[in-house]
Amino acid sequence: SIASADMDFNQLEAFLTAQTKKQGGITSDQAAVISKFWKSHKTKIRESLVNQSCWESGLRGLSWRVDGKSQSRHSAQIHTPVALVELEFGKRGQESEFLCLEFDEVKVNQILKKLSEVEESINALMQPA
Amino acid sequence: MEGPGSREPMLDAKSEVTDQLIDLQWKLGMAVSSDSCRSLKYPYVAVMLKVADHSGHVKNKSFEMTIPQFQNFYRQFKEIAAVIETV
Repeated sequence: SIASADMDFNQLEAFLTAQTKKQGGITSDQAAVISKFWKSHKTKIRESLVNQSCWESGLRGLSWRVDGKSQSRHSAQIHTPVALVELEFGKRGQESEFLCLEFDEVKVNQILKKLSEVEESINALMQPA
Repeated sequence: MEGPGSREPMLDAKSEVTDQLIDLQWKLGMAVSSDSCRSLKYPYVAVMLKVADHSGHVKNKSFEMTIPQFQNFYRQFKEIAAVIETV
């Protein structure tokens, strides 16, 4: 119940106190142990619960390098840099799959623009209400 | 997630084995509740990549990232942009 409700410490104290007062509930020693356990493990427990609720592919890794591509046929196209990005994906408990993508400078900037939109949204979300 | 130089990409820089990104769609979601956790309150970034291989065959790949993972993802692309500009 504690993890499910993601109780903060005040809620935790109130909940545990109520439990000690109940018939067949816990002793105050047990309450103290539970309280200590929750305080030190809350983050890890929460992370674990969050992971359990995610069944889409997650991003497991990202590697990249930039190559300078040279083409001799058209002098205007000599030395076109290209970024090679390898993305590693995986679903919970499953083997990774890889995607290898190639981007030129224009493409990289297009992606950056989209990612900055995501960041703006995140900032808007994190604003205090 | 790893940065440049810490791991060589698995595949060579040949156009036969790298795909082109056609489109990237994103969504910022908030997981509210689940059967294992009633009070999730967990924001995540969902991304849909539309990629084409060398034969023109198009496929979609979707995945999710936590906020810290997204920030790392974004940071890596900024690094890529900085490098590609100087090459």
